[in-house]
Amino acid sequence: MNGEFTNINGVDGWKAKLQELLKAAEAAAGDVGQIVAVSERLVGFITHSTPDDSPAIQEMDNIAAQTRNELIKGTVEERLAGITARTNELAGLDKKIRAIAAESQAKAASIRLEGAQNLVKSLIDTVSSLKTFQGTLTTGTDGELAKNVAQIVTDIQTLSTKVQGIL
Amino acid sequence: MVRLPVKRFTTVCILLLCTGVFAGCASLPDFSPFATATADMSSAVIASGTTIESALQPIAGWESFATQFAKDWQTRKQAMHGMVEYADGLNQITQAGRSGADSAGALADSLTGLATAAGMAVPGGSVVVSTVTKAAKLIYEQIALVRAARSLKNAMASAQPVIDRVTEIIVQDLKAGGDVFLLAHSTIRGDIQLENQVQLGFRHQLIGARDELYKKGVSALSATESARLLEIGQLIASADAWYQPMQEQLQQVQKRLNAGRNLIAAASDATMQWRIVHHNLVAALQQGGNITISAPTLAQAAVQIRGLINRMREL
Repeated sequence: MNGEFTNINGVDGWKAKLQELLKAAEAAAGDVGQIVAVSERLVGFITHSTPDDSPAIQEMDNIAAQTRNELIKGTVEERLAGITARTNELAGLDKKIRAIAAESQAKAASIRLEGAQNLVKSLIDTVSSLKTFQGTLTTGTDGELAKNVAQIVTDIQTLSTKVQGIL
Repeated sequence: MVRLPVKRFTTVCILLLCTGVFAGCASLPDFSPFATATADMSSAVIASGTTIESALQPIAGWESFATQFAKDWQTRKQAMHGMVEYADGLNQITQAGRSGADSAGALADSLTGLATAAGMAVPGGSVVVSTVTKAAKLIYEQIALVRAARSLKNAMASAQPVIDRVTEIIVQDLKAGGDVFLLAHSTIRGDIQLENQVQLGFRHQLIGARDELYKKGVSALSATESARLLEIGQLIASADAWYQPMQEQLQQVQKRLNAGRNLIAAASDATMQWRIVHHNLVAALQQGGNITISAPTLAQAAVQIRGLINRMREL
């Protein structure tokens, strides 16, 4: 690349080179590899033409810098817009995949018989609590209550038999 | 740009063995390699986003680009976490299916505990309980496998179209993000040179003048020209005080660009291959038979991805 800027003389020489680069920039639109290449050539134009600080050369340097900026930023904007355009759809898909994940986890828990196990554990706690309570019922007025508690314990025994049926 | 052999990920799909043998009992593959591979793919995609974002942030005038990208990539991160949850869910199903005997045993133990708490006497005593438990474990072992196989098939079949579109979007985003990353680095390199515009221009002039004298040849140089050549050499050498650090800076930018592009390419490869693996698993489950997901190959691909992520962190 540096070789392309040697032996360029005078304003006319630099002008011709800049026109060549501007055409290349136009042709590069959309192709990132070409955009990078042209961008580097535009930087080379500016640094090689710099020792000549005449107004004409400075103006050409400004055009080269602006072209480089617009070429790159325009492409970046386009790529980012494409990403943004897909964001809402992706968010919707994420919800769907998480719903499937949640369902899978629930299925796994069911296969592990976690529901039945949790039920049995709470029944064990309930029976223990009821027996403790039953033991405190001694007077005649507690008689009806004691009968009800006994019935609950019997019902739990029946329920535990049914839970066994899961196996 | 070097394409790393995360193509080893490709061999994962080749290593799915469908023997077509259905032994009268359901069989379940070990999904933990798949779950691990999903987590690694997710890490690669997320790390790629971080890498791209970090390239945008320091460029003057690109603040809105960095903000926009960061906001949009948040959704990609969420989607990757969703994929990891999905793979974990599948893994949980297969693990639950493979541990049916344990689940039945645990429930039987709980029921024995309940019988004890409720003061129930089991006819036949502990021998009967033990025999019934063993039978229940054997029976439920098979039931669990069947339930898990069915759940796995249904979950993966319903996820397939979602997976297809998510992976398609992610690959498109990595391509677009990769382009942005490349353009950002081109800008950074160019800006470094333009910051040294005057000095570079002066150096170019010196080199141009030196090359003109070189063309004359040693024997054709006059004494003045020889002295001039010596002077130019000294001036070029003195320019090294700023030129060498600038070159080192440019090389560092190039290293970061290369490493980042490798990571983004690896993330894209991993995503595409993961999608193929998912397709093959769905097909294999539909056909029935034994499936093996090769753990060593996936582990190798994961090591490569982690290596690339660590390299980016170092740079």
